[in-house]
Amino acid sequence: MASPKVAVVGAGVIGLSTALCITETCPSCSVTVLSDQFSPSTTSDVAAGMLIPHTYPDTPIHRQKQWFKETFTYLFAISNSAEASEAGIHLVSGWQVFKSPPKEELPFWSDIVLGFRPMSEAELQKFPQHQFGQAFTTLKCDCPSYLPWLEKRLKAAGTQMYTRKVADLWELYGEYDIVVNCTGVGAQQLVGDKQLFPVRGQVLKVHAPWVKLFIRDGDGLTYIYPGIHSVTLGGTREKGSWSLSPDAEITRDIFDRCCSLEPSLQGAQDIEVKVGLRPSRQCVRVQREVLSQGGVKLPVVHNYGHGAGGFSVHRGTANEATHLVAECISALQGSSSRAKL
Amino acid sequence: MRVAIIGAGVIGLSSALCIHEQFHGLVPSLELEVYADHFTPHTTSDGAAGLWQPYLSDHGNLQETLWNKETFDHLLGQLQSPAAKEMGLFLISGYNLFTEPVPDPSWKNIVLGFRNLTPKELELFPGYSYGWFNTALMLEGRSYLPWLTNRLTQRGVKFFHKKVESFQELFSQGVDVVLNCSGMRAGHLQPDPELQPGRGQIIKVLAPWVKHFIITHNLKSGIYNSPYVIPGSKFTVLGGVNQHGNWSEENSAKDHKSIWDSCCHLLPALQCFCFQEAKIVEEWSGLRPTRPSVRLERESIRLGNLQGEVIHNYGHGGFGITIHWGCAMAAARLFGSILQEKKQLATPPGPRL
Repeated sequence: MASPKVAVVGAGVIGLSTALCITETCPSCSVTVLSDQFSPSTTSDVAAGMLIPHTYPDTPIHRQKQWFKETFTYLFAISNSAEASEAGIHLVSGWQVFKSPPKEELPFWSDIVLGFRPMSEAELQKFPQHQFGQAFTTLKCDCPSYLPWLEKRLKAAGTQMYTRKVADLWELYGEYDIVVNCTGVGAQQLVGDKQLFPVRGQVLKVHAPWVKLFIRDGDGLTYIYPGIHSVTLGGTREKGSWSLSPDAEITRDIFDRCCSLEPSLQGAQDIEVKVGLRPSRQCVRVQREVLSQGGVKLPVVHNYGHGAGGFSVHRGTANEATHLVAECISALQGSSSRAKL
Repeated sequence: MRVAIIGAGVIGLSSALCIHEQFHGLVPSLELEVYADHFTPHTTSDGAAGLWQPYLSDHGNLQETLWNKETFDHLLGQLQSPAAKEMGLFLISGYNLFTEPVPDPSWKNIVLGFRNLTPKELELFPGYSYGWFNTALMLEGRSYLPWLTNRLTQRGVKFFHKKVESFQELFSQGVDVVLNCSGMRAGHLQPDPELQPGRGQIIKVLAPWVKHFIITHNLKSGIYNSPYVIPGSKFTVLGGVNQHGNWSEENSAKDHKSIWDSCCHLLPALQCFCFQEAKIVEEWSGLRPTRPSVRLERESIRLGNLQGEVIHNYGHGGFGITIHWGCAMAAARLFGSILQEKKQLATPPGPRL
């Protein structure tokens, strides 16, 4: 196969980073990104993009750790280069505070982020309702910067991008040799995955440039993440809700919860409310599948179901999906040679 | 009781506020007046980035370390108050970098979460093999000085845009106590060979992705003569010049290039600016009022039949914001002792004999 034609469906952080990985690893591939939404209208654009992993119950920890490590290493290098501001990648330090003792004293990612340690007594005094805390430095992938930067890299590599709603993967048969399914929450309908469910998140993006540290409640519900142009205040975890409409009462509640962690937020300006549906799953689906219909086959690589942890593991799962694409190419080349006999 | 404060930088305004807060209730006749040739945003304090951080060593000057601590603790206490944003006060974390191991600083237990840098963190800073991480405070002069001014104005303190030429000038007008917070120009009022300029130059850029301060140290060239990057609430300050004895307040092209090149080398992310000089928002030079130690003491001045008390509070070098509140409190204590001597403080009524 001279030039395998790969279609990546989905243009959020998973789709774009997977497409980029494929162009980097397989220069002879012709990669096309197809999506009904592009930045700034993807789920990824709502996320703060903080590299603090979500733990998937059914994915082995060593695999999650590997994904996070690869992602962190990749972004760390960008943050320390001249591309950092265009890519929207920057270091940020802060605190994770707990009202009751955390389940794990040392999360699996504590040796990957920088300078992880328990908070001192003096630091905890700032949080009278919290008794325990962890301090560390991690990375943030700012949207809207990161996705457009990925798109720019893709265009430079010759990748085509089209706005197109794919209702059925078989639509792509004939046009493309391999399909990579990075449709996030859309996978529920597209491939009928009932294990995928939305977890609705509402956030506020506010102008509060004096906030330089992140603060996160260990329960994962309340957080303050300072980005390049705005601070993301969150949030909610509404399992099963498909509603993309902002809820005013929730806005008030998020604001109050965040102000109790950081009172200076009372002075925040230009509050923008956003809603995203985390494409949640007990384990991330990074898997090859060969669809079969009427005697013809369509190789598919799935890469979806990252829930609350998309940014944290995106490069790692993109790498893994790319390996699977390479396997698909080998398989196609193998079968095409056999066909010649 | 007329008190004149010479100087409207962070030292003058905070000393005035401290004195008014503590004594206006006790001394009904207390009148405070601030005299200065420069007001915010044209003072030395306005040019400073506003990072709370003392020099590496206090050279055994424990009093200064105590004043630094008092200031930090006072500001930390203000952090949760609604005034914090208006004051320009916020938490910030960051890095101090060295080319060799150094002893821990006098302030390691004052700041929050002080620790050494890990090897992975040092990878960010090639050329530096040792360093510290801690969380400290920013107090931006361009917000803090107007905030102090507002508090003082509300309290009825009067401001005069005037260059005071001598202490006598004020005493002859009926001022009882002078607070000399004249910073770099204290030498005009009373010669002080120990007070020398430590000229600094800074470049302000728009780099909102920088969330940490980074201060490098070159033990040979001395404090702040090595690149530093300090992100403010709006702009990021690039600096790294501290020229002892240089009185020039003009921006130097040579210093500009040295600061620019060294900061871009330190923080490659800034290199995106190298072809866009338009992103430079401002450039500024100022003189750190440098002295072997802060001059904070009383002096009785007598000239002919004129007599008055002076409280000196100047020579805070590159740590004025860091030490200001401790010094203001000390100045207020000196003022209190002056009042005691003048029997101006109301004493509790004793038994009638």
